Amino acid sequence: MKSPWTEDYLESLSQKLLEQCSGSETLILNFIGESSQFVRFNRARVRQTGLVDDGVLEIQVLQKSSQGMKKASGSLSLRGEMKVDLERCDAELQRIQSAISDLPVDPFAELPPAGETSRFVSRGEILDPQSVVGAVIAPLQGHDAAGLYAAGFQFRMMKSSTGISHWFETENFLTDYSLYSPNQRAVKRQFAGQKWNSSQFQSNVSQAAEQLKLMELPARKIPRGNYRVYLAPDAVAEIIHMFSWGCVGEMSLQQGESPLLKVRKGEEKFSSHFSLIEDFGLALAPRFNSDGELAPEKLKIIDEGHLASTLVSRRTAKEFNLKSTCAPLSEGLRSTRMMTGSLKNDDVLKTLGDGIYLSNLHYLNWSDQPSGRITGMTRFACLLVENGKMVAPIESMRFDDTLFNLLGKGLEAVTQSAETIPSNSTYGFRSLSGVQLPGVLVQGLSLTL
Amino acid sequence: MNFEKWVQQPPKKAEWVGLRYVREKTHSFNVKDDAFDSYDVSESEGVMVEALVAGQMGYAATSELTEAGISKALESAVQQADRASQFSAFQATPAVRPPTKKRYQSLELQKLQSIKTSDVFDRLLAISKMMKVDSKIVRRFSRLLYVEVETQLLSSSGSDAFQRLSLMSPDFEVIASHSGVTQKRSDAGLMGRSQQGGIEVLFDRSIDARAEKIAHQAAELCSAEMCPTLAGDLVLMPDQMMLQIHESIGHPLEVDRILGDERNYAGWSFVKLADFGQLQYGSSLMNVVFDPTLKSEFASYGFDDHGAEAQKEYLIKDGRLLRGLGGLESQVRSSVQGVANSRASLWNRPPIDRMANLNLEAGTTSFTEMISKIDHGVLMETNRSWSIDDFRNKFQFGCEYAKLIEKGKVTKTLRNPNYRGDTLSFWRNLKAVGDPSTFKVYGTPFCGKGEPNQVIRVGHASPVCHFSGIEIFGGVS
Repeated sequence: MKSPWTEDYLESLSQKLLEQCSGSETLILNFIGESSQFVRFNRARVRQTGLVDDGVLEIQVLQKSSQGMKKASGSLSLRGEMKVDLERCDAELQRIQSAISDLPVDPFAELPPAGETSRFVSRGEILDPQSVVGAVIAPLQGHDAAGLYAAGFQFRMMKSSTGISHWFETENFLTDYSLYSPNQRAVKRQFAGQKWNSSQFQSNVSQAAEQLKLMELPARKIPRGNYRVYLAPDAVAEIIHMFSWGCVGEMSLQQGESPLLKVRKGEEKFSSHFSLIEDFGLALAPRFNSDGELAPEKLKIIDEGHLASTLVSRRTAKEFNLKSTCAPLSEGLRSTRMMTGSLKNDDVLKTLGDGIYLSNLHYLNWSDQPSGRITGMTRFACLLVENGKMVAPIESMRFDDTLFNLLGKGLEAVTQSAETIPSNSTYGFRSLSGVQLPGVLVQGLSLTL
Repeated sequence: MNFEKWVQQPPKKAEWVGLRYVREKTHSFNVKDDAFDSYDVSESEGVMVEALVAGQMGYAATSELTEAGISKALESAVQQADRASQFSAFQATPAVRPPTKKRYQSLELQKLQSIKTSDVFDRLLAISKMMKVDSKIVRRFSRLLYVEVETQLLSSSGSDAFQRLSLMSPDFEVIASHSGVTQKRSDAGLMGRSQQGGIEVLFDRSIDARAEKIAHQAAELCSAEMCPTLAGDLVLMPDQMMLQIHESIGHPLEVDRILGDERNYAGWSFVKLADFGQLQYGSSLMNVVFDPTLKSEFASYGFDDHGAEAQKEYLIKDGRLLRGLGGLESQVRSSVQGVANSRASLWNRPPIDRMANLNLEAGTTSFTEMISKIDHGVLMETNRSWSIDDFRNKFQFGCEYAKLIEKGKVTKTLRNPNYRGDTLSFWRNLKAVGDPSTFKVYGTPFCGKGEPNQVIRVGHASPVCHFSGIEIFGGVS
């Protein structure tokens, strides 16, 4: 697969734009681009297949005025032809420069930090677009499979007239799929990486098919109540994802919305088994943000149950006179690792004894955000466990419980090994983020419907 | 750029080729408290080229709007279709891309460009100031999202259609905090005031009263009682009905979901193909239409992204399920009657079955009469939490604001209201539908679906509705 977006092209275009920065201005450029292939399949047949080349350059101008700093930005799709792109970017820059004088002062605008640079390039060995159908769809024949193969190049760039220069480029694939039984039960899998291996994919499918056999058993309808459960890493990922939604961001604490405010005030606490860090060593996401800040390689968020740090963007730091933790403006998690525990993975069912094994959760949302209460559904391979053995799938159940139970007083044990789960989000562009998580054993999950 | 030549002489292998050009320009104005927060203008522009080879569609989308870029896209689309044709989900024909020459334009009384950028910020700052009504208010947000979308469809079978949408999303929100209780209140939630129109929408003076009202209500909620737990009568105001219609009618009726396309992501549907024309979805008071023809509603258009011309259709009449939310491809695959709803979020995503404007028609019960018949219940307003299972059965929704109903009267304010239920039993417990005086039109830019993911605009309109036998409860005590 070839891409119209190259480091040399973006470097050259950026330099020409940055040269136009005038004395009272600071110019910031952010590029997001991808060359991707998407093959969507249903019942192991191709539903939609195609290629996408998309590249967007954002131009931000910070201008010092007698009243204070002013800020405006504009972005446009690039065409991959230098003369045309330069003309269009010039026109956009002029529009921004003209508009900015008419704007109110931005009280929390800050100049980018000086001179940080980084470069990360990771090439893969992925399938040629012409061979994907044969390599991905053919092995699924004989199964009722639905899902998406998404692969290709992903690019991020940040440059500023203050000398910041960051480039991130990766080439990878993610097959996110599920297999279905005739009684509409399903198991879900991911097959992701940078080097395609057909026999490993075949093995991934075979393991899913083996697990699906259990799902063909008649499902049990379980009554509402509190249950001892094992949450597999994919289920834990859904819970950890909630930390990015008005929880771990410092702004949400300052505004009183975040449940972590109760932890900060000492009104609630997490289990000492629960530790969460931002770890860019996972190589799932760029370390730099759109302000050009380079995040620390590791940042402890929850340390053995204690709130160690929140995600503080440069803007929030300025507003509340805090130190930035180099978070993105959204103050969401990007590359997150939950520390493993002592529960041997082979002992999960035996330790659970009687309870429920939950492979996945679905559609989580706050049902009382400041109190940390979440509702959501069980989904995919969720099974009743009796005497340490999976005996039958369960009918889907709704849960409604707090983070402080799930990762606090109810958290009994954490598994010894963890799984790396890259984000499967493809809104706008393929996401560059992910998590590495263990499974957890939880006492008293409240199932409500 | 002249795109016509690319469809006039399709490559030999292709039975049909089409090109969809989209230019979307988003102007985003944000004010926080009494100050500027951000001003961004972003433009996305590109084409999706589609080719039909041996019954299989393939696509290639690119922002490279150059001779070389489009030529490469056309070649790639043909190759994608060709390679996939041995595993086609269905045999497509050019009939799923009908030729259209339709023109459509949003009703826009005054263009954004006719006023100064500072005028927009002055208005947003003024509205934010209006929300400073109580010392409990700790944060105020005043925002405007203005989006211009131009779409051109061209095809080898003769399509040459164009539409221009002008989309306004004014949005106001406050956070109040007092004695350890934090409450948020917004003007309809989820950017629910989204509609088609021009900058005149922001200068509608009814915004002023609404802004002040939500600010007072946010402060009021800080000292309100917790919503009680009960099984009983629930009255939903139209801005919560927007969400209820969307999640428990719209998504289950999407035919591509029923066919299983969405199973790996958002999920399946409890509705079966055999249910159309048969299933009693709700009480006989329930009449639901798909209507992309209303001029100011958010998701109106002249034609969908496959070229099907938009028209109003009943999906549910007198409570009975008649028609699905399925575009031309889904209609061929399912043999179920559908609508013109093949829509893509942008040029870089392929169209799938989406809601557009999905509206519950007004009934005959006045608001006063509805409340007077309730002995003990809760009235809820404005969505703040939503969750539903992958078959669209078991849901739980939360609202920003609630009132207790006692002996036929609206009494105390309640905080953290939630309710849950099962889709069919919920709609079958629809006891009263408000008259036209209670009917309100809303819309939101945030409906997520599809692999690859797409977020799209939807419109929903509804009167006030009364449901019985519903599980109602509050937050953490």
